[in-house]
Amino acid sequence: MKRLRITGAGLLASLILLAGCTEEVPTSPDPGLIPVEAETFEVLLPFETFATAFRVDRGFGVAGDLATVFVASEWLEELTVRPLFRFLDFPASVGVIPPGATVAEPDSSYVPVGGRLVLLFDTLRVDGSAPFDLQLSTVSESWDPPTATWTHAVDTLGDRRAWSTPGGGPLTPLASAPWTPSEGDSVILQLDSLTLREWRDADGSGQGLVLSTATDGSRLRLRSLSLQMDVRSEVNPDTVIRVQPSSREFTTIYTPTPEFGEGVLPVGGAPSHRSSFRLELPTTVEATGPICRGAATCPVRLTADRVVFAALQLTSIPTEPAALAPADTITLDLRPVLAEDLLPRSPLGPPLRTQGVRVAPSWFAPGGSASFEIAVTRYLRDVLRGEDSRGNPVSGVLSFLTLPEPAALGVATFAGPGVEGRPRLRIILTVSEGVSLP
Amino acid sequence: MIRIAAFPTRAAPGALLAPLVLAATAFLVSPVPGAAQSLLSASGLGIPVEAPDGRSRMLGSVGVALSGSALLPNDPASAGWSILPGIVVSGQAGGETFQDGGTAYQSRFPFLGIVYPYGRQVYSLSFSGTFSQEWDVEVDRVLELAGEPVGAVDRFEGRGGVSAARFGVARRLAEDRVSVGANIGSHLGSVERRFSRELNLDDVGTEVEPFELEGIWRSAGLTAAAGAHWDVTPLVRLGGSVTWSEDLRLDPTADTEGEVQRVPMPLELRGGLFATLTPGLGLAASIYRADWSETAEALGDTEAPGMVWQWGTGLEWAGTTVLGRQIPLAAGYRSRDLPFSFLGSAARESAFTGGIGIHLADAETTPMARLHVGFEVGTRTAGDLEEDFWRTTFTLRLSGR
Repeated sequence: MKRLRITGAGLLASLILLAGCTEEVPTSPDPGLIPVEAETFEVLLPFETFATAFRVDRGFGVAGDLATVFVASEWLEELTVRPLFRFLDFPASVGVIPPGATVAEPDSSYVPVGGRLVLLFDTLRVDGSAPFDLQLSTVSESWDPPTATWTHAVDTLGDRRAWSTPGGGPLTPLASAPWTPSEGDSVILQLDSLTLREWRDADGSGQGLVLSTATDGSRLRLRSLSLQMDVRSEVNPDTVIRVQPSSREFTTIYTPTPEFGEGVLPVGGAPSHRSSFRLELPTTVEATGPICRGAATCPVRLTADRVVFAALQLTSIPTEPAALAPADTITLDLRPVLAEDLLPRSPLGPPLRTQGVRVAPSWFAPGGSASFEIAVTRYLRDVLRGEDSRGNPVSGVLSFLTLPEPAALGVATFAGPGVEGRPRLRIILTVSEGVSLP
Repeated sequence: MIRIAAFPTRAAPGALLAPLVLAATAFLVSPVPGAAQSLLSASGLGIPVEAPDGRSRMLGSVGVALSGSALLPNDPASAGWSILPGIVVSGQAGGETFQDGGTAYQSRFPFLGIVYPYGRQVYSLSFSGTFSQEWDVEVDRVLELAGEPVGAVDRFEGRGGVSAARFGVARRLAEDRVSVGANIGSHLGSVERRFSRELNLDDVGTEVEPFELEGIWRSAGLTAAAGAHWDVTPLVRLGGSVTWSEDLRLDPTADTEGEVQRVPMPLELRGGLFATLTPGLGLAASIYRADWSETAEALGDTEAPGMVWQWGTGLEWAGTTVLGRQIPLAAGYRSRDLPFSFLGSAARESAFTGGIGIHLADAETTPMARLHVGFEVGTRTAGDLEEDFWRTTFTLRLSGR
């Protein structure tokens, strides 16, 4: 056994001797030792050489989902925006403590005695000259919240009804109040008990309210609106209780409706625009530089393993009409279209840029223009290979959209096919004849 | 002659169990040539792996004609002196210091072998390194793209692990004064080369992907060696061997472009002697010669030296015992030409050697468990380039009935 222990100890010592070493490979900084010739160069492909089937689709999302709600009148002599809404689900009963009792009882026969609409505006971002004359009006025609627009009360499949008067039909003024931002961010519009009782008793679908401003050349950001209703209980008439409806239906109607001709690549708006195109990459690209061995240009095969960087370059153009330019920074998203045949309702793949690409509103203002690029290296390599890293097929059709959708009333516009500043594909390639033995 | 029946019975448990433990351990690691990782290995097929044996290394030997029995891939007669089955495993750890102060460290298992006497023959199986190549280049560059400077880093990795698997037969003749042996086998392993270029993110933009190239070539080709030992007197042993290899075939793998490359291999001659000068003191001297001209020519190396010489000598003192265990000590010197040039200059390597052995368990004069640890401290030069290196090689040999 002694020999076994000694042998084991020797073996252990030997293995420790080896295990104690850290691997570090001899590394030289001498470029002469690299037996590979590699050249890196850049090519810029105009839109028409790498893309086909350009199309613009509109109708994604509804204006009611906008995070920022405007109230505007003839902003830049063009844009009028009116929130259109109604309140639903008034409380079926209120809890009241009868005289002499200590426990509240539900009272379903409560009576509205007054109320108010409380509006909260963003005082830091006001366009126009104060004071602003705000008006609340009732809508007499039925309307469909998801599809109502400036011209149509209902615009859904099989049911398309225009307002008798664009902008919400005949409006009956209900309340009004002036607002001066320097005096505070809230505006309270008092409502009478008869109106509130009608709202409570209505089935909901018939009623509607429009908020507008009569001050032309103004654009206000509405942060919130809420209805407060004062009700008196028949159980205890001395008690007035403040209640709120539990839900509402909301959208924004506006004019003019954005329309874009050829040569424009629009993204965004509400409902939102998407611009799509199919990548049809050339098999070769024209290279310049030392790789051409003295020639001015030479063709180089475009393959996935040669692409080390790729980006779509876009140039923004001023949005027309100017009033529909983005008012805030918006985030652009670029996604593959999974079923081109189903456009414009095709499902989309994951975003190529996880965080999207943020673009400033100044890029789309009158006189503004900017060029930027969206990196698409991995996607382009997948397209060239015909499959992604997991072996799944890759769609060669891309859609530009906003994140979220809709993101804003404004539309980001870029130079489209056929015009100066049209999209380009910037590709950096590295080419080598390969690794060989000495 | 040693009488096997005289082995102490108490040696059996350790002698039988230890090889199993070692065998299990050894099969977890593949024999990888790594005798000399060096920038100079960038040349040709790399640096030829020297005798992967701790005792050869401590004596500065080319791996031929040592006293006692051994299992060495290019000295097939050395196995003929074995009288017990055994297993041999070698490991190496080493490092280099370059002119710019940079360092590199590696550890490898360059040899694994089994020896098995049966009848009058001794059979052996072994895996050992032939060429070693492990080097990187990393270069910062500034490229010009569309008139703008763009930073880039080029990296190149050269990895070569050409090894050989051999089957050998040896036997003693002439009243055990002569041993002759031969082995035959095939080259294995691969040569791998990778290149990448990565552009600077700050200069280009996000989502920059590296450009990568890779080439892998599998090596193949027969190799054979034959040799003899002659105990001229009980105090002097002479030995020699010749190693022949057919063209080394380098087959590109499916993803590697190019055709099969055939590299002629030289006929390698080794000779040496071991003389006992006084009781306990031995002298080892050996020499190697091979003409690598055709090999270098096939690889486009016009500055290679062609004829390559290697020699080494050392003294071994076996008179020291500690706790009843024999502790041989050795010191020596060796020098060799490297067969491939480096950046147009012929390369050379020399080293002072030394080491220690521990006879962990012997049954009379038959080794049951021996550990030899060889140390080398030396220099490699090629033109203006110089690098210092150190290397430790241990070899554990376990025998059992």
